[in-house]
Amino acid sequence: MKMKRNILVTAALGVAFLYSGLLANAQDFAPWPVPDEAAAVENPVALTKESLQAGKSLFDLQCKACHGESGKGDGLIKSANLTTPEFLAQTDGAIHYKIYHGRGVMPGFSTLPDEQLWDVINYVRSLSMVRDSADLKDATISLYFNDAEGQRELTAKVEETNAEGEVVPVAGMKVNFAVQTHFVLGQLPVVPADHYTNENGMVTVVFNDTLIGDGEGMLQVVASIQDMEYKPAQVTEAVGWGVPNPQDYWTERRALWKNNDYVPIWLLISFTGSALAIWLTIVYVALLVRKIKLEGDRYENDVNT
Amino acid sequence: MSTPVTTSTLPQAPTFEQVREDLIRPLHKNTFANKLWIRFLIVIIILGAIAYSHQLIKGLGVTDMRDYSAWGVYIANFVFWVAVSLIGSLISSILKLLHQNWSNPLSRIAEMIALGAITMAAASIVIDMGRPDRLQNVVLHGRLQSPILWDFFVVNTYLVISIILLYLPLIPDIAILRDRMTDSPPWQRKLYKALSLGWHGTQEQWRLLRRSMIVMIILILPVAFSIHTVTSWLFAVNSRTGWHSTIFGPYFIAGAFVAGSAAVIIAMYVFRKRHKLQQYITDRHFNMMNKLLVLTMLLYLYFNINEYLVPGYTWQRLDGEHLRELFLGHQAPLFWLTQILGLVAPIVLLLFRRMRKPLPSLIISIFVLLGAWMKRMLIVIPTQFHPEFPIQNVPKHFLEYIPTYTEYVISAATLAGAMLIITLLVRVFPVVPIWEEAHDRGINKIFKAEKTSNIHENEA
Repeated sequence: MKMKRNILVTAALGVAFLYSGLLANAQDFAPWPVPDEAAAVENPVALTKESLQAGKSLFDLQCKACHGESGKGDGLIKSANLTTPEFLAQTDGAIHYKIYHGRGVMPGFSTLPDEQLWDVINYVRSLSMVRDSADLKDATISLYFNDAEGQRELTAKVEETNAEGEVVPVAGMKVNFAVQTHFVLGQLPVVPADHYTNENGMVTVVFNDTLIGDGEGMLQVVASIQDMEYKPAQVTEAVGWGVPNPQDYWTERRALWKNNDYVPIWLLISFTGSALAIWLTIVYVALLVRKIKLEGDRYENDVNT
Repeated sequence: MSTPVTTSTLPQAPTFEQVREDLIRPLHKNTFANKLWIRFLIVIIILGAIAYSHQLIKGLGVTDMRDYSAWGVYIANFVFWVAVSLIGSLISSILKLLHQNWSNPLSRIAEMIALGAITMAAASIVIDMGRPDRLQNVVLHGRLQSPILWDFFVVNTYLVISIILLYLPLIPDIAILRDRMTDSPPWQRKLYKALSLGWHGTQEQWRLLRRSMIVMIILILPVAFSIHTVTSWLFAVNSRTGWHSTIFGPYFIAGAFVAGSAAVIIAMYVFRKRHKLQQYITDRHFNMMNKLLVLTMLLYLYFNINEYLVPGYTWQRLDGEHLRELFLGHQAPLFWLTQILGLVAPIVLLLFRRMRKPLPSLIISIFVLLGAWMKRMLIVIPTQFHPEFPIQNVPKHFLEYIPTYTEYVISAATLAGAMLIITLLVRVFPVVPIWEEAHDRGINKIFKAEKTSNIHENEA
């Protein structure tokens, strides 16, 4: 199954790659005319932190795969660079028109609520704003587990140290909750909707307790922030809230498809056993042949003396 | 002992000296025809070496092996050579253990063919490798779970066993040659002296030789069965239509005995004619060998019916595509020619006594052997065009496999190589075992080479 899926994924990526190459050569982004009345539409959504965060969520979901994390068009498929002066010279209305209608491999997003498209436009514009990481503020995040009344809850608290040296809560900060997966650096989001800290810098979410943990049901829960004003921060805590998974890991078992260190015992014994038996017999015969030679020498000696 | 015992009931029965001289006479003179033949084989091998160096420099791209058909004529050759090599075990081991003494004069021919064939089987694998300089990695990094490693082990083991099994019964004969072939060039005399191991036919030497031979005759059986079963597993353990079959082991072994028997009959005919051995390789031997060939072919036919009827009856998706290609598609002419001319027609023809005479059986055996090679092609190649997952974005010509000239020349060179090995062996060693022949005729039970006979009497 895994093999099949890998082949399919590889094939799909391969096709996408070839296709992208073809398209890039074929058109290399011909001018995309926008009707004047569309270009004249004004962005009704103000450039706020909430709008940027919502825009980022949507960008990560719909745009990042092709346009790349930084919007430079360096994703899986060759696509427009969203940070060039030419791109930024367009009106918000013109960008909205393009997102709404799409062209070629760029799909149209007419089914999404208009407000979300404006959020994305705000976010895309923010991508080209240069921000020195020294300008970013430090925030700390901590994670608490509440297991009361049969309801399991995660609480994250975000705090910062203000100019006076006091630790104060950060309100309105989006917190992502995830669990560490078995794959390196893999994180599985465990709370689907966006959650923001309250005025106490706290956010509490209900934990989905159907997640499968390790052999003892242990999960590594990660709470993290990624914000435009603050440096990224995250905290990882272990909790035994997962469904125990006592199943042996195939990676630690002997099997036919494994490397030599994990040869099945039956195979090891039967192969080396028969190989040894055959070669010992050959050696035995070789010794007999040597005896024939010794007997011949002895006989010739007898004859000569 | 110096006066051979003659059987009075058979008038003009040959004496031991006559048998001995008849059998070593061909070794005395290197005929012009033989020289020409050896040079011809060497020319083909040189052409093969040139083609191979071309392949080595340019890579396997000079073959027609591509994404679909990653195994081509080289692997078919490998399976063919392994198959032919199994005859050594059939005649030298199975028939001997069954006390089928009629086959004794043929055992050395079979062992020489086995040695030539298994050498070329090993060579075919190396030829098929794009990077033969990495051959040692099979040993260094091979996975014990992989049939390729088993195959590597068993092919090499069988090669060693084939050499030993050819050598052991040769020792008393080499002692005779050492004593009789005094007019041969120095290198040849040195060879005989070294290889005869100081054989003087003492009781102890006979005891040791008999024991080693019986051990080897028994040992070769499981190894011979393993080598071809493992070769079949190289295919059968893949989940591929046409390969993934539980009967592949016995199917291959039955097919191997067919190919090997045919090869022995051809060799019998050639050596009988060339070495004037009509008295030793008689019509009776042809008759019996052909009966053996029919027996193995009937067994092979039975496995063929199993192999094709069962998937043909259910006609599953890929099996159906594969079988349609074989039965009705563009493999069909080759498939039916192979099955009819290489299997069914020989069985029917060889049921008639007249067809089991030397010349008709030579012609039939050539067809059987050609059919055996074609069959290996039909087993190895068509399956690969019906994978579980279609390979995407490949040029259209990847969808068929037609061996290139390079592949044909190299293949021809392996054939020439096997024949050269046999020719050179026959050049220095008698093709019919002298002592066994004498023993079977009752001329000498345990004889001694002349030189030492009087000493033996003194001892007694």
